[in-house]
Amino acid sequence: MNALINWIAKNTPSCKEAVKLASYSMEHRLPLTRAIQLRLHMLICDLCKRYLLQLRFLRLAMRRYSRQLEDQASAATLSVEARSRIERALHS
Amino acid sequence: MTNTTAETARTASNPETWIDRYGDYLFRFAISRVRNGSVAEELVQDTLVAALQARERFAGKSSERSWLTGILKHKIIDHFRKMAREQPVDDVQILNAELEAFFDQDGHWRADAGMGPADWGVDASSALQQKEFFSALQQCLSKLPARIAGVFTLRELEEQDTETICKSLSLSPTNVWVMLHRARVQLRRCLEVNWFGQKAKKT
Repeated sequence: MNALINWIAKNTPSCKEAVKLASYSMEHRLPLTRAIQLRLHMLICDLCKRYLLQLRFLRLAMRRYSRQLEDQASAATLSVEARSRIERALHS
Repeated sequence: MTNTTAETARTASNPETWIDRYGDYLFRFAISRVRNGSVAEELVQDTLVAALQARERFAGKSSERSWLTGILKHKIIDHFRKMAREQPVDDVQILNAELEAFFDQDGHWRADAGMGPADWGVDASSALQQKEFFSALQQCLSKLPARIAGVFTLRELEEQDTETICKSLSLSPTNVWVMLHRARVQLRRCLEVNWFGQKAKKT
């Protein structure tokens, strides 16, 4: 079993490389070899496996955030100065 | 604010009313993308001025608010493009410098230093139900350098594909993926420290 893990560790990307692949995979299909290498790496590396899950969580959070922004009756409003400036610009 | 059929059927309403009707909404939208109050104000102004000049062309096919938002989105992209080109930097070099905090010479996580991804717990998803989480997310987003924040926003808030982002901002695909990677490294860590921090267990 150890021999297998050692083989995987030697033949798959480092964690630093793996996270680059993980990020890339959020936009693109990885080429087959890369995809397999990443999978194998995450088989023996819990940290990188977590990292990818966290990237996916981050994406989900951003989507929710985006919807929230449109819906919420938030506190952000144009300042009085900004309004006057804009009114002037529209009338010039 | 819903749009009545009467509003969608007719031509653009009196521009005098735009600030009152849409000003704050457009401002909130702009701030959520550019995270800077004065830039947001400028963009809203540019949008309303452009809309004023183009109002003959508003055919009433969409709601007025969507039309104005569409113009605003273009102004936002123009802004991001300007930011992306303002300071030509070597993103790859910066990326490698930033990664040094997280990885050792062999490319392993600096887990002993607590820099490795922590366990966010099974109920990470319950964070998405909490308003405070989104405040924390907003805080973390505002910490991103403006250039990479723009790219990340277009990708994750506007959900544009990378090819579109490359064209809009005149960036190479390599630029874009490096910037996305940088943004994710930083954001993930920021959330980990500022939201999940209390629950994170040391590995």
